[in-house]
Amino acid sequence: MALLKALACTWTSHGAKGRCAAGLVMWALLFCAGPEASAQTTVSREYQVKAVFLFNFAQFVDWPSESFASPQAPLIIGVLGDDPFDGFLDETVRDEKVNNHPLVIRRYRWVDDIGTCHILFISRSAAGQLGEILARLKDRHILTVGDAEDFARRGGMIRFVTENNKIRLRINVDAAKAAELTISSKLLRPAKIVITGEN
Amino acid sequence: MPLRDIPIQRKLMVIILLTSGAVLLLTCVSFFTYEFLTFRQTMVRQASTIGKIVADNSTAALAFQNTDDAKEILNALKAEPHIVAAGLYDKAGKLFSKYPANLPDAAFPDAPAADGYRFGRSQLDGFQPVAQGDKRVGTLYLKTDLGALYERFRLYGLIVVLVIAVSFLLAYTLSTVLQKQISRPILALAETAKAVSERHDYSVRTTKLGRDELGLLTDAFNQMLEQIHEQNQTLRQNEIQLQTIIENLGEGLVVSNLEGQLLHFNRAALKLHGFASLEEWRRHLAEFATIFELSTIDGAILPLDQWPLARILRGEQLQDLEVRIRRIGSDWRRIFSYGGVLVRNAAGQATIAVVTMSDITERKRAEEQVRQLNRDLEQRVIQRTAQLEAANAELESFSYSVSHDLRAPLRHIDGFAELLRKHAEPVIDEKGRRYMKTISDSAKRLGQLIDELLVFSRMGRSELRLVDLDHDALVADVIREGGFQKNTTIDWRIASLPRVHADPVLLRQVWFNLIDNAVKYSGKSPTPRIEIGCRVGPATGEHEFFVRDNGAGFDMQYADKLFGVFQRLHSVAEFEGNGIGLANVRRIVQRHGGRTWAEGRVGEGAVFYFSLPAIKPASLPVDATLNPIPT
Repeated sequence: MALLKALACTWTSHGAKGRCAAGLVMWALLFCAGPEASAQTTVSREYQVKAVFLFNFAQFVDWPSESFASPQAPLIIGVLGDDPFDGFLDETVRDEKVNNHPLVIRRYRWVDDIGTCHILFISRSAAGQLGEILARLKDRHILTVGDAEDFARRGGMIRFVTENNKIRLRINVDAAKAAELTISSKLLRPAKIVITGEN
Repeated sequence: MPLRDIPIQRKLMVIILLTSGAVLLLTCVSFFTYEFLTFRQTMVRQASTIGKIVADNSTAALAFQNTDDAKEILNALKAEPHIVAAGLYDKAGKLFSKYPANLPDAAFPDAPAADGYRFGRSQLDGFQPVAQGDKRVGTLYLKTDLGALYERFRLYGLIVVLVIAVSFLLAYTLSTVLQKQISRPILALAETAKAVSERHDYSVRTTKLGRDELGLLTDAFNQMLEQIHEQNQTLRQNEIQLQTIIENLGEGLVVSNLEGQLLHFNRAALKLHGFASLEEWRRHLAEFATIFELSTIDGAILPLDQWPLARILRGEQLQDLEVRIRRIGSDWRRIFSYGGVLVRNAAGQATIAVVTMSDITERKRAEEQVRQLNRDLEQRVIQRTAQLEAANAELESFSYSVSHDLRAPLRHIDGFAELLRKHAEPVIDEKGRRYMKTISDSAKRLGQLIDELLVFSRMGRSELRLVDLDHDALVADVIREGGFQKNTTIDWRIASLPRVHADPVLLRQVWFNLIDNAVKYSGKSPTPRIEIGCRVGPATGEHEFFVRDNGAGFDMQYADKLFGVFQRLHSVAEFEGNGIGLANVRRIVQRHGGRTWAEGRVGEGAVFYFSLPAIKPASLPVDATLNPIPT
């Protein structure tokens, strides 16, 4: 885990150098099915960082108490659609606890599969039905995270954006509020606030 | 100069300045120390507060690896100029963000050290954990410049120096003014005391400046001066009085110190020694030995150590020491009577010697004359007494021989008158017989007279045979043997008499004569009364015996004549007697050392007294009662 985080930092700190590489990563992710050694590494790194960020969200967001069955109940991070983390997420949260809640990773194919969940990463594969997904998740205290285009503007709560080889956050505060989630102002500081439907 | 010797004004000033300086310094040092300690704590607290805030704010930046945000957060530190550097280290210990941004990485520690704040040489290094909830996300490094601390201390130091300087100035100014409250009265007192001790002027007074203790002191000082002044005046007056008395004494008076140096001669002493100028006597005693020579009355020259003053200086007290004094090389000679004593102070220590002298030359001369006269007189008395005694003896022997020689012709006259009467009786007539009888009686009377004269003259020559005798028995004997009791009309009142030391034969004659006299002269009284008694003479203490009658008495005008030989106040026809009895009484009593006298009044009786020296006056009853003799 420590090694992963160190890697993530190394990646971000050398962000300027890897600008070309990032573009290549994007392209490879979107259009190339076949895995490529260098691209694979870049993608892996990006998702390593995102996995850490997902884990970090658990620390900056407060859920209503009823969303936990008990104080020791696990905090569940779910991945909807294809899992892009390639095991990093499991690696990241292994043996970790946030506010006494052990972290558990769940993977869902369909929205209906989602049971108790606190953080839900909606992968690009599921982003096509985002409107439907979000509608289905309405009234549930789930922090929705994704890296799809206009994810936040379309009603998702936090979107990962890659800018200048760095991963930045877009946060739809209203959406979070609607889900009765409290996002720490500290998290809002480095993020850009997005309002649903706004351009 | 030690503090105790400097003037009081400066002393007060020094004390005030030292005290205020010490207090100020202590205060400043305490303040400084406090500030130093608290300021370090404050700095740590401030730095850690800032550190906590920054760290807290930068959790998201670290967590989400937002360097821009981190930079922005760190840039807020611009508001705190003492924080010269700050750095955020990520979880792995890598420098993530730094402030100021242009500072090279080398200025930051390679890796965060242990959490906490530590003072370096010129900076405070702080490592503040950055944690979100219970998750540590990194470390904040803060570097605070200690210049602020030193700057502050410089300022404090400056303030302290300024405060001390100003306080000193203020203390100096205040004390200059205020210390006068204390120093002025003291200085005034000191000034007065100096004036008194140097000029002996006790009339100066100190002005009172307040009613505090110094005011009391001033009052007390002034009162003391007043008292001293009064005492001085009294002393001076006494001295003047004493001086006047001494100078006007008739007696000479010389004062010397204990070394024998003569300090003073009064006028009489100057005159007695014949001194005119003062210089003549202002000398040591020893020098006087070159001027005068002293000797005893008997003429033995006195060495200097036997001179009156020398003896007084040795502690002797002299009185009426008569000494001859002579001026060497002149014919001035006097006799002085010296006295003197050492004068001691209250503690009993001798201070001076006083010698008094008076010129007794004239008195001595007069005494000598009196003595000479007495000697002459005594000589003359002895001569005269011898002459008288010789004449008396001659006279007595003459009268004895005359009396004796007269008896033979008288016996012839008596005898032949008797023979003539017998022979011529038948032939002579009655007239003739009467003449014859007269001749015979006269011859007998003459014989009696001669006998008594013989007794009288013998009396002066016979020896006294003194014995202790019972007076009562003697008197009773005289009354019985004299046949005085035959006259039964007499009322006898006889008191008990004390024993005496006397010649019994002669004393019997005394009593006989006195009782005989009393019986004789009271014979014509219708109720004759005779009292015999004794009293103690109030002045002399002698026994005074008396015989009192109520007979014819006598005229006091002739009281002295009663005891003379052949002195009679009455005719033989009136009261028989030959005028020798009382003379004998006087003679006998005188030989016993006593006296005789009489009191009386014509027709009222008489009292005859004789006294004898008492042997035991106490044996005489005080109230000598008169007891009639049992008949």
